[in-house]
Amino acid sequence: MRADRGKALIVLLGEVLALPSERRAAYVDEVCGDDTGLKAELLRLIESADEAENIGFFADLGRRVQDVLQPPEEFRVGERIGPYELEGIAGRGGMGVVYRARDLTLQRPVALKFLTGPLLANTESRQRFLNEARAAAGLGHPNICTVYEINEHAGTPFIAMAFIDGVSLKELEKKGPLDLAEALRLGMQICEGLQAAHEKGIVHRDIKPANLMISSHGRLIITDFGLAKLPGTDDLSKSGTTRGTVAYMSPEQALGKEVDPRSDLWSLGVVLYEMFTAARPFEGRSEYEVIQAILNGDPRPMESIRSDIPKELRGLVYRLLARKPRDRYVSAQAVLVELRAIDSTVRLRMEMTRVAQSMPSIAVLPFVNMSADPENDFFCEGLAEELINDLANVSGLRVVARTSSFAFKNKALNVQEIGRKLQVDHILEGSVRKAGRQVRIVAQLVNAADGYHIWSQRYDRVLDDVFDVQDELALNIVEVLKIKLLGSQKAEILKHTTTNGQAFELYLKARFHWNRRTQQDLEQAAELAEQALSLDPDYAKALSCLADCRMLTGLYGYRRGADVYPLAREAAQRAIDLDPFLEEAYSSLGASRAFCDWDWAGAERACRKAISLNSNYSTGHSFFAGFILAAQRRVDEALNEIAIAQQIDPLSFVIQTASGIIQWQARQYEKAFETASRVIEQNPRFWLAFALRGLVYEQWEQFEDAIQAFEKANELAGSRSSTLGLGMLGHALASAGRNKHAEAVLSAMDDDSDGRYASPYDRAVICVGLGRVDAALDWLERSVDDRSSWTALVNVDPRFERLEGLPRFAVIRASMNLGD
Amino acid sequence: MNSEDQTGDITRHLHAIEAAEGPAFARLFSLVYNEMYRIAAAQRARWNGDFTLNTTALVHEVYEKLSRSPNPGWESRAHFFAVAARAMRQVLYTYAEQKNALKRGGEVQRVSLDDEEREPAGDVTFSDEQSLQLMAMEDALRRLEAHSPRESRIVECRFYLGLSVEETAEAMGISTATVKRGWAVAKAWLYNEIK
Repeated sequence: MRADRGKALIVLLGEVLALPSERRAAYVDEVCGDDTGLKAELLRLIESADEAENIGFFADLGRRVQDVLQPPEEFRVGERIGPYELEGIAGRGGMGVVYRARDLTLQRPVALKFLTGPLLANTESRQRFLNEARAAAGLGHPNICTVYEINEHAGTPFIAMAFIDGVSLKELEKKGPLDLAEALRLGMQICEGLQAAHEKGIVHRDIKPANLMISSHGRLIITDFGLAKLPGTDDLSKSGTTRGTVAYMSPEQALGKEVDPRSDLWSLGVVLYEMFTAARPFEGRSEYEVIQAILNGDPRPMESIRSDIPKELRGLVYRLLARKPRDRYVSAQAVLVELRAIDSTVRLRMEMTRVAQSMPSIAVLPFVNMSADPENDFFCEGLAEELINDLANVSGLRVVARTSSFAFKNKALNVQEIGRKLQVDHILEGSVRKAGRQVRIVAQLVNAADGYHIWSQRYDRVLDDVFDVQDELALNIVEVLKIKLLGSQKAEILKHTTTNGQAFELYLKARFHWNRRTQQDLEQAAELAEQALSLDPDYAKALSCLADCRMLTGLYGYRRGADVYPLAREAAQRAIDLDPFLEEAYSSLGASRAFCDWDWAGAERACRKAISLNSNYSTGHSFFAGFILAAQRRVDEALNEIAIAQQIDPLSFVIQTASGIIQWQARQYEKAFETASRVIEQNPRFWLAFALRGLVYEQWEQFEDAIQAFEKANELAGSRSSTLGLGMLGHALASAGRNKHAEAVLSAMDDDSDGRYASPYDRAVICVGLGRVDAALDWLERSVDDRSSWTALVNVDPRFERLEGLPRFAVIRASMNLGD
Repeated sequence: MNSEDQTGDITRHLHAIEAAEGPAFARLFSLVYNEMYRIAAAQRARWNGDFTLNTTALVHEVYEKLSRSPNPGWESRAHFFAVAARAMRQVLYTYAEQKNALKRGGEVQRVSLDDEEREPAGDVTFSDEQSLQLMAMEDALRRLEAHSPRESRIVECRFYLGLSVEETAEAMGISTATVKRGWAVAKAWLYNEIK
């Protein structure tokens, strides 16, 4: 076909196809005239157009063409490599392809990473790499990806590691900056992983979002440890393989100098910066510019990107990004400590905001002066101000401060607009009309969402003393509003709580610390509760919080139960006297009845009362199950009760672990182990879960595993915890035949220089492990006298099984009213 | 199908582009092509079996990457797309060629338009049928191009790049009606050639 003829054909085809199909034939006839060749070609093309459309030719071809890019052929799905069967491609790292595979022997998913390229051709560098990777493989840590083996397949080295079902931080960040609390949580986990590696002298060298995975359970896992030192890859000048990652490279790394753990801290700084802001601290249009910025520039101020990052946190990030390593933190541990502190501040702030936002809220507008005399403005504003002050003292109500409310004076805004601006759901407005000595005041409560009047009241008074009228009106209106805004029931309960806003705030802070359960926090919580009580001695909730703090101090073995339970009982009883509907107080009362008075029936009544008052009170169910029922060997009931607690609060690690401990007490070791593993998967920092795992290992006589678990638990619990974990460790050491070590743990308990209460129960645990039965019984007797934590649980503690049948043991149990 | 070595083929292709569109376009084309080829090769390894190439995502990645250089070389985003469409066609064709070369038992040659080091792309795995379809498509497209370059540009945008009618119109600076009509014509033409 000649070119011009082809061109003409295409033009004609375009014209024909633009016509409706019924007019096409006539048009073809017209334009082709006698040129039958042209006509035939044109008709064929028209037919092709219809046919192509009908069979979906282009869609089909397009799909196949786009299928072009498939996984490489070297390894195919279903192929076997040693014990592994390839299932697909999981991703691609800087060094090669990562496959998803299944370990057919152990029946677990694995990720296989093949390392390719000329880098490994040289045997010496390959050996160096393998050594280094093997060292990193030895890092068993929940925040570091577990390496199963390093091997070769057809001359290509590969690493088999844990398959992480999750996403990388890089992907997560594509959605924008992370929520503050989430970023902190992840940041702390990075620190934990780094610390573990740094302690063993291993530097990651390539900390970046793509190497930080977040499992589907939310755990952060650092991958590619020990891989960054692949010969060649740490040399920036050599190749483009570092492309895109210079942004995370520390200044010393960029200069090709020797790096130490502090280089990882620098990279961590960039990662944190990016999590918080979704931007990078050092940017440039090219790699060269980025490196220049890293070497010579200052990080872009975070506050210019996001306003809600606390100052302390910005400071921490900037310090990580210090150009000189010595100006950074000394270790990941130091960063972690600081992050934890910031985290608790952030949480407290969030908690207070949350409480504030869930409360009904009101803004009081200055009353409108309807009389001619401008003097009355003073009265109008004064009345509103008085109302604001009085309302501010009502607990459970958020009141907009005077300046904000008064900003709308003389502004032509309707209440809905004002409500939106002040973020309140109620507006109180009113008017004052004065004639001679007569004053008429109208007050109305308006729903800010729809502008409807909820309540309105007229007051006619004789104005003898302005202030008297103000006081009276304010009190009157506040009383009405309490009922209107909080409901009659809550207004009633207000009597038992507090009208003192400061006391309320102290109480909130106290509960915040109480929730954290460490000895330090419990002490702080008790102190805050006492402060609240000094402002309002009849504040039932603060009393109940105080009771809870003291109760837990005993229960967790931070102090002698005999010292704290009576105090708990007293506070709980007073709280109940003030407010008989306070469920928490009954739990504390129950605990003291059980563990101080050995009054099991009384304890059960109190617990059931707590649960009946609020069936959603998960802590009540959990406490009843784990302590009252379990101690009485009523394990089936205990398991039922804890199951209810889990239903109410499925995410609580405390409750989950408590259920595992009951399973352990019920000798259901498989289940207990599963429970522990599940909690650890969700929260690898929860010490009690590791302790539980250790307790199970012990029963399986895997003593070394038990010892490891207890060591981990104690490390996580920290030095300020109770001796519970030490008792466990000592027992495991003794069981493993490491008597000397067990004795050392036992005598370490004698050292109370740090003010730690060494529980006789925990000493008894170690003694029984050492086979020193008499000493164990001596300590148990002491434990009963001391009312030490867990003493009553001796009844179900598998470790004390060997004492069954001994007369002294029977006496001890009977002394706690736990005889058969 | 031609049997010259691919480097030569691409070089000739580049010369053709330069002759038709001028040296600036050719430079830009080679830049975009290289980047696209590199990213596609990297992406390929990430994909599972059921994956189909998301050409739009690929082009966006290339765009973003190249935009960061101080003087990317295109006047507008639309201009870039016009270049990218051409480059995408070339990338896919290159894969088809490699496949064909492998089938013939020949060694895969590194395809490069400049001296920049690049990952070897050897492991292309699409079926013989796919590769033949693609090469047939390329042949037909070249013939169409000889008669009507505009229609062939439209095919590049719509078929290889996955642009919508509107996006194609914007990239080429023509009306959507023209795109629709050209697309219908090109489909009829190509199907007639290939079927």
